[in-house]
Amino acid sequence: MQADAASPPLLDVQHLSVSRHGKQVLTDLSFSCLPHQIVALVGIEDAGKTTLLKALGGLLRPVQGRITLAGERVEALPAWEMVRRGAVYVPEGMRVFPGMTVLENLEVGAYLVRRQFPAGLDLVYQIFPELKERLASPAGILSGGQQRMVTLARGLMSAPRLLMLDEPFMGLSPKLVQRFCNSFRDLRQAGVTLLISGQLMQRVLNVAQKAFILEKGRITLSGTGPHLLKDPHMQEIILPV
Amino acid sequence: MDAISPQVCLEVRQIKKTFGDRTVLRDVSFALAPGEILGLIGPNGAGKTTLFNIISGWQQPDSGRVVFWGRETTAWPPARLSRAGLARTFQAPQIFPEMTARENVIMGAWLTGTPHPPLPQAQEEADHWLSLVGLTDKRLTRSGDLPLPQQRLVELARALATRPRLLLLDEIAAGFSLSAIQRLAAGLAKLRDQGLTLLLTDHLFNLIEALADRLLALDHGEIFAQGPPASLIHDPEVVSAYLGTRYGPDPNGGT
Repeated sequence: MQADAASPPLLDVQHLSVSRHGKQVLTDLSFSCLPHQIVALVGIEDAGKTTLLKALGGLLRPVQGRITLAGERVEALPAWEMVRRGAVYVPEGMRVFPGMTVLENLEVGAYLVRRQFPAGLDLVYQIFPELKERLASPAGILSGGQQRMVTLARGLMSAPRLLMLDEPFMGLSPKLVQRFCNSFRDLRQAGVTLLISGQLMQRVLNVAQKAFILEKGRITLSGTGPHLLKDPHMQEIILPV
Repeated sequence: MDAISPQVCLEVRQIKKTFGDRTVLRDVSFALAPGEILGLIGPNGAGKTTLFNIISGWQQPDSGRVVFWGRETTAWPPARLSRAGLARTFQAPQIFPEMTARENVIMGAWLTGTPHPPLPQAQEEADHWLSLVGLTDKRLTRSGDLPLPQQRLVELARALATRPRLLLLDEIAAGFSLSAIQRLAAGLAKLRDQGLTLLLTDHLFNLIEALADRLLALDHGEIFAQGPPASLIHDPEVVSAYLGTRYGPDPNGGT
């Protein structure tokens, strides 16, 4: 399960620049994620975290730079093609299809990998057993935190190789955050590489093989998670949840 | 303000609420003293937002009563409650996305002022509240273009512009940096000193611990523990239902 330092990166980003609404948000970012790694992307609001994940998920076109997924250039591919190739972006907040049931939301997640639906469901039940009793409920009537669980679960249903989570823990109780983090080992064993972005990152940094701080669209600090956790600047940014 | 200040700002009596065959609130009762800051904690799906919705008039309880500032308000619609001094924010901010931050806040100022104050005065007032939440430089930005945490601050400023006696905050600090949480806590503490009563729910303990005089722990639609934050975080039931081992060792550690 240990990422082999000699193995080629699953994701490689070189000199990436992205603009939104005519304003440059990301400037010359370069980093990579090895297979099965947990990579933490830490930054305050407005740092460019969401823009980066959207660009990696095929939802924004970079103005410059290269994105390579499993050895192939992907920066010009649409989002659905990225999902088909296993790069799955889970947005922040409560982004469910409100009129569809919880189960239907999960089915949408598995749309491109229907054969893996039962295995995905097992994984979801293991991490979010609360959802099991709400499968027939329209997702829109769930509580905010439960909708957050559905959003995350739908991403897990896509059988991702690279799972990109934007502020995954926001709105979840401390106990749930803990349970979700405890599932990382299983996810890695299932072959998933995790790129997790946000501020509620103490638990993620504890286990991240690689971490970096994004500030005003540039990487200002990088290292292993536990190492960066001791950095005073990191202490100012993250929230202990 | 009323001539006579009652002993109780808000009283919630035996609230029950079901959705279909699902009981969300069983028998919830508590009271809030004027100037008190009360934190509501509990697992996801415990019924916290439903309770907020019932207090603020967005939903009706199946039974039970809500008494705000000495008057029964159980059946009051949200706008009437707002005019009576009860304001709230939402987990997913309910702002007018096409309006600027300032225009959103003016809506709050205009809700309670009859007749509406003239525009220059309303703008000045709106800018005051925006500066209080730290959004002065965003006042002319279209609200929908702001990041979510800043949309929450616009909503907070709009709520404050109604000049509430009781303010309900539903996960206001989600996505805030630590320094932003500290600024917010200091700002809210100052408003409390001026007489504001606060009921808030948040999973960010930094805020709850810094602010709340008292916590209520809600699960399965019932209050199962209450007390000052320092004692409640050691309550075994609260740890088991909600907190987990907060900063405990991670079983993934060292991999």
